[in-house]
Amino acid sequence: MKLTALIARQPKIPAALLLLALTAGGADFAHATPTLTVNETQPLDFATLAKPGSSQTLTVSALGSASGSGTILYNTVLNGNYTILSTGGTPPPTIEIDIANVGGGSGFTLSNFTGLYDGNAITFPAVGLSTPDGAPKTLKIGATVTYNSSVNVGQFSPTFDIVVNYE
Amino acid sequence: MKISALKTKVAAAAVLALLAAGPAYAVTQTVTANVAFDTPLTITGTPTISFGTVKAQQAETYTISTAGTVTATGNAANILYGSKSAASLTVAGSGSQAISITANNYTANGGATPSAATCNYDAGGEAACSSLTTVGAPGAGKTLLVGVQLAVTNAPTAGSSAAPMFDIVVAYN
Repeated sequence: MKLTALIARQPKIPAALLLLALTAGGADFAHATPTLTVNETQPLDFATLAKPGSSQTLTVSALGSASGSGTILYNTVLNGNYTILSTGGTPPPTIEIDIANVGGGSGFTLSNFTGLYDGNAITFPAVGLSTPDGAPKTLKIGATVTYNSSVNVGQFSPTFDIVVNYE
Repeated sequence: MKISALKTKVAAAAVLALLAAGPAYAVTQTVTANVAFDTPLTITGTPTISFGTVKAQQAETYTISTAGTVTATGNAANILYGSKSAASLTVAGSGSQAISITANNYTANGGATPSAATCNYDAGGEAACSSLTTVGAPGAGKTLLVGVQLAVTNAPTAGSSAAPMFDIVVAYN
């Protein structure tokens, strides 16, 4: 009987702590939650490439210049341009950015993503980047497309994810 | 008793960890890249223009049309004999992308100076090659006939031959 009463009382201790904790943090929860947004202003573009007889690569730098063994037939390469913005609340001072879920297509793959964040070269995953609190910062992205003779003639739109986290 | 105390510590630690973690909000934006592949341009066929035989040591300007007809600016009698033909080329490449055609790099030889090449692409009519800035995609192959003007000095002697040259340049727009 004594033991039962003791066990019944103990759960009240963590419950009390939790209540205290929520009360103490109440001021923070009353403010707006910091929110990150990513907006695209220019998609990454590898132009139109010659269907090759063997494996080729074409790299678009984060500044938008082209290099590699591939041949550009027409149109022009473009780096990807995006803005990142943190709004609301009091965000942490730094963010990290990574590239994930990189898609491809028949006979071609994307890889070797490079970036320029707020004018500074970065490699992915990039950590310790200044949080764009209230004013957007630019993110420019380049990458390499590797392709071979099995690619089909036509236009393709592979996707990839830009993942931004508060640190 | 020992068990209950442990639960208390665990619960308290979880709350502290929750408070210390701070914001962990993230955003994942899926974006699209663009890449396209197409067929390179090729030019095949007979890259030779034949004026036949013309009068030796006679300054004259000859023109061969894209149909292969030779005319003389001064005197038609300066055109003597021999087979005459325009260049007949085949341009192949993209099935959808327009192209431009031009002629350049005219190079004289043997007293004969070429200029003012004319082109007839895909039976669209004869025109200065340099005016074909936008013509249809060649696809599997379209015919390009080429003529040219040839200014000949009075230097070439009987029995001599000349092989002036120029480039036909085809490019995607």
